[in-house]
Amino acid sequence: MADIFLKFINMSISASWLVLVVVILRLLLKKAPKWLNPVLWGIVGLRLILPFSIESILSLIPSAETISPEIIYSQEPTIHSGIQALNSVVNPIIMESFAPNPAASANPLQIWIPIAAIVWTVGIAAILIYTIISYLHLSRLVKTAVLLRDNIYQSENVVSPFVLGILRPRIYLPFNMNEKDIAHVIAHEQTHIKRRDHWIKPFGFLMLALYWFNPVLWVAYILLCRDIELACDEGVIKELCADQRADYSDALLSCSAPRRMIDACPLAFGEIGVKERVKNVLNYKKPAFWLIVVAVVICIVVAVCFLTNPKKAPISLGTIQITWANALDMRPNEPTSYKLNGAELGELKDRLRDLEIGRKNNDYGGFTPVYSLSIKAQGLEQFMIASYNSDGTHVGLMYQGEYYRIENDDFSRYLSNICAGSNRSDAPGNKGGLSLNDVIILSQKGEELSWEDFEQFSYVETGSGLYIRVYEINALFSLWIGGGNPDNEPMYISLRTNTEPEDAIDIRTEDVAAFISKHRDDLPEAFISRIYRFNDSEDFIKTAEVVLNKDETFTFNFSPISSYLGHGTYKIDGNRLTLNTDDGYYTYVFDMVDDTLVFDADASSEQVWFSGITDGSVFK
Amino acid sequence: METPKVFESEYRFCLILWEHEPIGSGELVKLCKKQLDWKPTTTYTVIKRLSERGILKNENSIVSSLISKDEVQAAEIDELVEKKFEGSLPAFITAFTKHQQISDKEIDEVQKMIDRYRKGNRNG
Repeated sequence: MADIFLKFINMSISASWLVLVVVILRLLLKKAPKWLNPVLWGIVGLRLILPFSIESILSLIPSAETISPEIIYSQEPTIHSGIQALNSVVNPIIMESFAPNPAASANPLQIWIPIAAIVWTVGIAAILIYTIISYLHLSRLVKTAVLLRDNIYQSENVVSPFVLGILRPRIYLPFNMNEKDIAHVIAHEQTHIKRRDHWIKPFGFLMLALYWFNPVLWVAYILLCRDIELACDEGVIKELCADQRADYSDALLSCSAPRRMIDACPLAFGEIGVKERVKNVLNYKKPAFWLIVVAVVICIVVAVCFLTNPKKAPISLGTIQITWANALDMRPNEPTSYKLNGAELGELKDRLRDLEIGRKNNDYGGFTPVYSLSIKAQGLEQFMIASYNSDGTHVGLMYQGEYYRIENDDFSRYLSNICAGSNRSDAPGNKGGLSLNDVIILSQKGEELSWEDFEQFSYVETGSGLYIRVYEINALFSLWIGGGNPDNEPMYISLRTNTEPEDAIDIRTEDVAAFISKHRDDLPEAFISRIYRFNDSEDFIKTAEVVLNKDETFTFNFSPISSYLGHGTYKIDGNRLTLNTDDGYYTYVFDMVDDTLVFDADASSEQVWFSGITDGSVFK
Repeated sequence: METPKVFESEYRFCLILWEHEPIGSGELVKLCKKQLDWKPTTTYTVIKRLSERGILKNENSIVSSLISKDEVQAAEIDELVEKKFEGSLPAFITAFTKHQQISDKEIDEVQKMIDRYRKGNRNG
């Protein structure tokens, strides 16, 4: 039920944008033929009943799913309206009010949304029951109405004329009407029936009952009722001469009923906005041909742009599990590149969560980004968030060869900074990585070892409360130093295998060499789920990357500026690693030596451009 | 006794009744279906309602009126004169003759009615 409710909310939000457009068009198109407006409302109606919609790049609906069904379980509930300014106002409030409390057994939204869904259902039932009762009451009142002719009846219980009934609509008139008025009133009501208004109005009311929670649609319904009358008047007076039009206006005036509550039916004659209607009747001019053409074109454009949904972003950035990310900056004379550390990945994840991916746009297909983040996430192909100019005004997401706009100044600034690495205390090149050799040498200091001994190497700070520094050594090993404070003696300085964190020794007291040799055979498994980078030469362009994923897939990028990204599956046979691309054209073979990959050109497919890869090239 | 109120749609029904009474209720239902497009239940409801108000009687499925067309019309006029002309008959006649052409024959008839009325009042 909660799911259906959210679906209705999302559909009503999409439709509300359309209502807004129709309201504006109504104002702009006062001179257009009046039949245009009910047609536009018909498009709104379609939007409200069609649960699914085709996706189109022409769609002008900002977002088809403002509230994701996952919001119930989300740690940080947010909406995605498709309008960044709106999101940034609303989301902090939502987070503040509905963020899950870890101590509670259920998320606030897990409670509130089902309650709202029940209120919604009860509301629908109440409106429908009320409508059925009023309908029955009205049909009892006109039971004794006597036949005038055809489908026209008269009753003393009728105050002003109306149409009642869906399948066999009847026109009801009061008894005391003069002949002149009767003719016009009947013409009006018969036109309603001819135009199927006796179906449109109850249908509109049904939509209102289903979407009663959305005030925009109440406005829409009221305007629809008005527009139906205006269009109907237009249909009648088209056939009349000027004198008759004046009489018709008289009839409108004499039948104008006091404004009633919003009703499903009936269609009354002098119902709404008599003043406006009289004005329209008396000012009626046959619309120019070009106005009719404009009206038809508007209907088509509105239908195409607002009945379709925007192309969905291929990735939901809020939920992805990032395995690694790589920053690349071509702005300096010597382009820079580095792998994001844990803290930076944490920030990236936060930034991506609220990021709105815009519409698809292939303007930048084939362009080389000025700076970019290449990101690999679990279960997804590698994708890239890049800026295509140095001032950061053209930022986009590249995924599977498609470009999606990202329009968020805050994020653009972040992207520029992170790619430049300007916030890094250990900017690339300043610090070297810890090697196994370093560990063996340092371990000889034994109990004397302290935090400072490792300061020269790059590390990731992961502790909260405690200080925990992680030094990545290679695919298999990492060194962890933990303690209350870097000024004190560390609680532990442990060498661990990445595959089994429990399997660790403290290098101050235990035999490092023995531990390493014990795990020498584990290496092939540790090859997996990491990046191997080849950069033999000084030439930055000639940096190639192989990524081996746990699920036996790989990606192979010859150069940061190459748009080619090989992907496929890999096999490990002893020390031999074989990559086969999915398209079946290419095979790449490597020897696994220590924790590196050594390229075997003879056994591999022919090499591709830019790469400086040759036989024996080492990927680390 | 005051003539009970008859609503317009009931009056249309009564017109059929006055023309055909006494009439079997089944027959009346058929006539109402044809001339007023009433459902049988509607006709029976109206028969019951009017018999409760003493306008007609329904005995052994034979329906006949208790009040004549003249009486209903007179009551309607009374109500009209009361409501619209503050009970003033001359005001009513003035309004009536303003837009209607009245023939000599009609004037004679009205004159005779007035004479009869005067005589009756003087004697009584």
